[in-house]
Amino acid sequence: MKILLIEDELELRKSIRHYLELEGNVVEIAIDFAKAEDKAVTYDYDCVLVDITLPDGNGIDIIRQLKESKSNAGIIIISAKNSLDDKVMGLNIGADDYLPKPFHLSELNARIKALIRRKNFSGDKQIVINEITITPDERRVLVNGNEIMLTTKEYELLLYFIANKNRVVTKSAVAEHLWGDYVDRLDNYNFIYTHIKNLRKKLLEKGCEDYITTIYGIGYKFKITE
Amino acid sequence: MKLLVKTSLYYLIFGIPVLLIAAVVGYFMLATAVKGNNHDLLKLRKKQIEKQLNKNDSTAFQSNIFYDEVIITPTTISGKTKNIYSDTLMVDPEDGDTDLKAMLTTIIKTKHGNYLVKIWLSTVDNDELVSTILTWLAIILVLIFIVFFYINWYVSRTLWKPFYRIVEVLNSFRSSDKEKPELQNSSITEFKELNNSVNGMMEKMMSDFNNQKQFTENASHEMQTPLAIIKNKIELLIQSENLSKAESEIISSVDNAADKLSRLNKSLLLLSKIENRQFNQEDNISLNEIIEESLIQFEDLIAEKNITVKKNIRESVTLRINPDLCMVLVNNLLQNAIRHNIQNGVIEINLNEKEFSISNSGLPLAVERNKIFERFQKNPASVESTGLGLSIAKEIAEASRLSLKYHFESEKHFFIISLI
Repeated sequence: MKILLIEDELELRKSIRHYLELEGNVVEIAIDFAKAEDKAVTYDYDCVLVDITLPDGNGIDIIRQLKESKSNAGIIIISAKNSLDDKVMGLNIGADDYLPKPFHLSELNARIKALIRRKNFSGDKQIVINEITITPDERRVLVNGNEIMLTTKEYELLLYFIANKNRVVTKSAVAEHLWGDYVDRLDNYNFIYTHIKNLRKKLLEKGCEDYITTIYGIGYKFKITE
Repeated sequence: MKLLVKTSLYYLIFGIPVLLIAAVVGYFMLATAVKGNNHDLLKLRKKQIEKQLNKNDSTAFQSNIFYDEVIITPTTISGKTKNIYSDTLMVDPEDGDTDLKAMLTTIIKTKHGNYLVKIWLSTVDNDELVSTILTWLAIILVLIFIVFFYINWYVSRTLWKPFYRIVEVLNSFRSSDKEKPELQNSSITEFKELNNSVNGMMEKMMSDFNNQKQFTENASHEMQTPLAIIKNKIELLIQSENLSKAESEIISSVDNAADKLSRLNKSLLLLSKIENRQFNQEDNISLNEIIEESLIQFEDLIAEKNITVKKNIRESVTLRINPDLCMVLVNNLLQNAIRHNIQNGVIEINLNEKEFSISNSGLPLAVERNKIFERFQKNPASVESTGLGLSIAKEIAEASRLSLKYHFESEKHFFIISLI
């Protein structure tokens, strides 16, 4: 996947690029508005990550240009402003998602994958990983051809793990993904464990290999070799 | 008590003794004047009688109308003609009443002989005088009271108008106001000075508030990026395969602290946005839906503490409010009720047209009761709390013209929003 990252903050740029490249993506960088404009219109990308507060311009204008040039790229706004107006405006002019800073890299990764999956009309509608087959449109999960019934949270959890497979995801990242803005109100993440335990049990019952490992004190890892 | 009422009261309190003294003095002056007048009149009549007696004999003036009020008796007493004045009671022959008369007893010497003459005339008695004076006094008092009342009314409407305007302005003034309220111009020096000081004070408060707000906002914004960097670097760090248990623990602590900082930051930003009235778009929001949604989001937390939720919810209660703020408000109250609840506790949610309340079982307050809505007032035992949740709820209620109140009753904490 080819991704354009428009971000003026050096360290953020490095982290995001690093994480996304681990996934085998090609990440191109634009450090200001002028360079971003240049790249966005010249090349095709699967996904464009736009920081809207740039030193020499507003990222919103880049989204407008992408839309005008009928670009097919998925667009995710990453913003330190976390302003509702920006969010509404960004989504209205054609951005696909809005991620306020600070965010988890695993969350960004999951959003990019979900976005590409939605955009990919012609492509495969199924996610197949070894014995697990997921049909996102129908929210169906099959293990070795047998359907398993998952709760919404378990289903989201599984998708999140698979999007970040072979990466350590922190408990706070999982919580934030499952509870969204509510995560700020959770006193502890203990109950994540309950959902993970149930998901694991349901997978194992249908003969699925035990992919979910606990990383002590930090979080979880969906360890899989395809 | 109003200043003007108090002034009038003082006038009345000091006025009554002054009037009483005036009454006593008046009485004596009046009595002396009446007496002098009576004596003069009697002397005049004595002269006329003397003239007549010298001209005619005693029978000549018997028919004269004047002389009902005279008794003339020939006397052999001679000597000095001294005038003796006295007050005496006499029975009126016509109506039989006893009246007070001023009487002059004297001896008139004529060529026909000496006469003992008693002349009298009707006069006012003391009782009459006193009652007349008291009546007038009472009338004056009433008049003064009425006049004061009207003066006060007039004065308060005109003279004190700028003052009452200042009081009104100060009562409704908040340092978060966008515009400085207008004071009334006055030609009175004292009020001019007061206006100037109050204006200056309000300007100072508003600019201080704005500076502080601006600072919070800028500080929070500027903190977002470094926070994002910290969190992202931690995420990259934990991808490392060979972390020891001790290292993992340290990383986890850093991550948690960064999370908390991020939460604090978001809350402060939200607070300053609410104060800025940036959420001005309002809609008719169904409180029922918001509450249900919130309960679903919190179901894990509720289950973890094994809390029983009792709902007493009337169908479709809507509220004119900003949708995002409404959600934050309900969430914060519910979160508070869960966080400060006890294991196996109870949450009661009441919703009807009149009020929306959330109550929870829990230990007595760890913070002072009247400081419960203040920022960073939190239970030291609650590590995860930012101490801003209830401040935000209070700010939202104020921005949405609702009242949010707290009370503690029979081991339960109540948060009540009045909807009327």
